[in-house]
Amino acid sequence: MVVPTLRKKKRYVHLRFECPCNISENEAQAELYGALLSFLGELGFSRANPKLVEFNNTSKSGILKCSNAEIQNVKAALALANRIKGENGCIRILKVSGSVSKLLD
Amino acid sequence: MPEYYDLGVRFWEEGLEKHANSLGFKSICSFSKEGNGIEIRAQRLEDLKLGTSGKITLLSSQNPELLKKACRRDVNILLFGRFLPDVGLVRIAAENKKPFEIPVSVLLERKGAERALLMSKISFFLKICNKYKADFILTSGATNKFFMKSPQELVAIGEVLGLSHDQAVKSISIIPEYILER
Repeated sequence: MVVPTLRKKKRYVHLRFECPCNISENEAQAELYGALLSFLGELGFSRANPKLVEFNNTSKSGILKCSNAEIQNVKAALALANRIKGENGCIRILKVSGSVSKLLD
Repeated sequence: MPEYYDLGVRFWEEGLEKHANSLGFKSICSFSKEGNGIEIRAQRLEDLKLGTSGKITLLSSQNPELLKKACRRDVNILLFGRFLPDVGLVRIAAENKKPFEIPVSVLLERKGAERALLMSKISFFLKICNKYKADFILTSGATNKFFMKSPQELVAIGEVLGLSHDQAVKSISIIPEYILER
């Protein structure tokens, strides 16, 4: 267990996939990681430390956890993704917060 | 809280303004037949015939000399597609208070090394704009709904391009508001 002062600060990003196709949790994770990896590179990806916490197939929305220090880069990387499963689409950032409960309010 | 504007939409469809409002914009400018803006793509000096239609005029050119001349005319926004660090052009634009458009769509249309190199060019161009106090506006440059970005996404992209948070916010709020007032 890491003491709270040593724990890295994190942020939660509420996002939604806007595309004509259906998307499963695994596919959403692959799309998100692909977008982040292509924009930030391996070093940036490791710093951002992203993790898909939750995903809803019907609303195509989910919550991505990432490092607080890299939040702007993560937002830019997601905003610059323009293809979902090979079709036109985008990843829309709905809200950013420090806790999941506030995000879903 | 500032009010945000996207002065670089390149298409028009029903419900577009509602969609923009839902993203967080107060108002948008669409450079299309039905929209409230005119985009002039100039290649030669003869193309620089500007009318007074009451619409927002955007002059887009790859030629810096043409853009320098346009600075002294009735143009609201300039778009230098090559994003070359032409100090003369930036200085004249700053003197005449003509803002440069930085459309995010040019990045969305590219991938990999091409996108990275363009980001580097835009980043240096913005650095020069800041040095000579020339205005610039971050826009989506969207040709469809998927290309439209929310204000927070535009700010994040601005910060990635080397702007401070305040500069990025100013480029989508205060400067566009000033253009609309004029």
